[in-house]
Formats: sequence, C-alpha cells, structure tokens
Amino acid sequence: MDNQSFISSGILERYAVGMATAEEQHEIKDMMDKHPEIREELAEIHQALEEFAAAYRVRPPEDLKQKIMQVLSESPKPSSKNRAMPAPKAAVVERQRPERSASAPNMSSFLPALLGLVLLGACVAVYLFMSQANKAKNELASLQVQYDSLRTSLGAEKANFDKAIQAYEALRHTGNLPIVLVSTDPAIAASAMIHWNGQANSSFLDVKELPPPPTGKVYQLWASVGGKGQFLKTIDTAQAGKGLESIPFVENPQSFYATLEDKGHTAEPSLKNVVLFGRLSKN
Amino acid sequence: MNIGKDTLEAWSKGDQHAFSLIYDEYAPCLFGVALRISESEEKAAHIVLEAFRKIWRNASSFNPDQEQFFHWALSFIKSPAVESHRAGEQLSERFNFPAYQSTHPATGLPSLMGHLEAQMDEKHRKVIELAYFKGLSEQEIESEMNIPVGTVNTRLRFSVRELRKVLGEKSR
Repeated sequence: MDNQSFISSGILERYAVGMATAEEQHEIKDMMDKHPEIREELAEIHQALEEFAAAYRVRPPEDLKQKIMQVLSESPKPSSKNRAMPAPKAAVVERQRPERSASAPNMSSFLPALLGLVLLGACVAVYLFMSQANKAKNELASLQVQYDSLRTSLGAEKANFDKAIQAYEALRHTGNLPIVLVSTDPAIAASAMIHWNGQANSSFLDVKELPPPPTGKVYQLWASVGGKGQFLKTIDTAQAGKGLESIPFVENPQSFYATLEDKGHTAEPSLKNVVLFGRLSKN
Repeated sequence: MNIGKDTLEAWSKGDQHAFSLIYDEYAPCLFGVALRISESEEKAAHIVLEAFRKIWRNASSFNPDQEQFFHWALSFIKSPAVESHRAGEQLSERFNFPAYQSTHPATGLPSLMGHLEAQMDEKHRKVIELAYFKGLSEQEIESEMNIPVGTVNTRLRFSVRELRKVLGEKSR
C-alpha cells in the first residue's frame, strides 16, 4: 500500500481517536518511522481534533483549581521513571482497561506501596511472633527453674516428713526407751535425749541444746557397751532443737555420752572431756 | 493549546507550579469535554478533578517525544464515559461522590463552537464526539447512531476531513 492509499484508508483517523487495533497501531508506527509525511498527516489530524475539543472550552469553576491543588498537596510526587508510552497505545489501553470509576484508585500505582505494606506487616508479624516465642521460652525456663526448686523443696520436705513420721513412730513404739543426757558441767547449758529401741533395733538422738564447740573441736556421741566406748556420730550443733535424727543402733548399751574432741575421728573417747551423759535405767 | 517541554518536564518531576500552568492551559478544554459528556457542571467538575489527580499521579507514563499532552490527558476524561456507557447507565448515575459545591458558575466560550455548528453537519460532529470524547468503539457507535460499522468508519474519516477543512477555512 502506498502512502496516499494508507492515508486515505481512514486508519489514521481511527488511530487518532483511539479506535485503532493493536495490529493497526504497530502498522502505523512502522509507517511513521519510514515515512515522515504520514507522521505529519497524523499530527495534523491530532491538531484538528484538539481544536475540535477546544471548541467546547468552558471556563471551569474558579474554585476547582484550588481543590485540585489541595488534592495534589496530599498526593505523593509523580515519578519520572519509566516514561515511554506511545500516545495511541495509551488511548487503547485506556479503552481496553477503563478506569473502574472516576473516583476509583489506580491499583498499579498502589501496588508497590501495597506490597511494601504487606512486607512490613509480615515483618511485624514475624517480629511479634518471635517476641512472643522468646517471651514464652523465657517464661518456660523460669517455670522450669521454679518447678525444679519446688521439686527439690518437696523432696526435702518429704524427707523431713518421712523422718518425722519415723521419729513419731519410734516415740510411740512400745519398745522405745528414752535416755536423758545431761550436762556434766552445770555452767554449760546442754541437754539431749536418746530414744533407744531394742525391739525395733533403732536409735534416735534429740539434741535439746548444745553450745557450738570451740574452734578445731567437735562433739562426738558414744555408746558404752561392755565397758567400752563405741563411736556413733559427730554431733551437728546446728541441728540442736530441730527434733530427732537417726543414729546407729547398738545392742545392750549401758550409757550414752558426748565428748569434746579434736576434729577428725577419734578411736577412743576422751573421757575427761565428757560434756553430756545419760545412763539407761534398769528395768 | 500548547505548553513548553520544560514545563512538562518540570511537572513530571513533581513541580506544582508547572502543573498549575498546565491546568491553566488545558483545564477549560478538558472541562468543556467533561461537561459535554456529563451534561452537568457538578459532574464535569468531579471528572476534571479526578482526571487532573491522575495526570499528576501518572506523569511518568507520559512521553512528550512521542505523544501530545492533550490527547494523553483526554484519556482520563474519556474513561468515565466509556465505563458508564458499557454499564448501560447514564454517566451521572456512575458518580456517587458528594455533590460538588461550586461557588463560581462556569462561563461558556462558544465562539469556535458556533463556527463548527454552522459549518459541520451534526452527524459529523457527533461521530467525532462519540469516538474522541467518549471513547466508544465502532460497535458502540453503530448502536448509538443506528448505522452499520462500515458506515461508522467511513463517517469518521469523512468527519475528520470535514473538520480539518472547516478549521482551515476559519484560520484563513
């Protein structure tokens, strides 16, 4: 098709008003690139249409500009990137995908902001989730510590309870024989009791009061069996007044006594240093 | 209507003063077209307001080397008309936004229009209006004017040539 036939076909008029198909648009662009006279013809058509529109000029309301400028001041500045959209294509695109309404937002312009918001929301959600997870983890660790502490305490309390029950049963036992140990020095406030049970083969020490030993010294408890001292245990004065504690059982004791000794086990009691003494009563 | 490349370039970079100049140059024409489409000053004002908001927002899509500004800007006026036409409703029904409270009534500038009305057949002006202002397709114009599609194309071609002839005579 020669240039004149192309111009006379009416395709340029269709293009100018936005009615050209995509195929026609490509054809026109190709022709314009090759033939400057076609570009000039199209420019004249555009000019005529613009003047036709100008015939409808009406001065808009004075306050419209003010309203538009106010809207602008509340809108983001336009971007100057990606500016390459052929004029006819813009019209066709507009026709194929018309605005939903005059007041509807341009979704493509909101998309980056929307994606940014979604990403920001996801980050916040992850941050909140991680914060909650860390908080829960810390709370769990704290609860675990409390649980371990309570379990330890419970174990200790149970041991104390078992010990108390054992002592209570020993005191109530018909074979229980209480022996009072008194201070050998009236100037020293010291006393204790031994609960010896030949039927149950059990013995308990109940220190009522006993002053702390001098530095480097300890109190040791002994049983006199057949005229010989038999070591039972080292007395912990910190337990004085706290109830019964189990001690090794010995058969046929004649008496019980405590001596003040140097630290470390002593094979023989220092009888000159007896501080507490009690004899089994003869039945 | 003409605006300098520098002004367009400044507008594309977010210069409100440049945008103000563009408004002064093109708003009367765009408002007139909107008024022709909507037949309501309030609706036309809203169409133009929305159009200029899109013009501001979509500056990056305009290429001054490849297209004419008015042709590009007109697409923002045409789209509400196309939408309402395809929805089978009056344009005025499409706009549910609050009534535009204009305190300054518009004033018509009908000098050129009078010449066109006198020199051009109404059916020639109408086919241009439907295609160029309202953005209707050939099939839609066929239905609107009750003429075959082939006649739509022929009439459009003839009408544009008639327009160029009338404008040419007026300028001489």
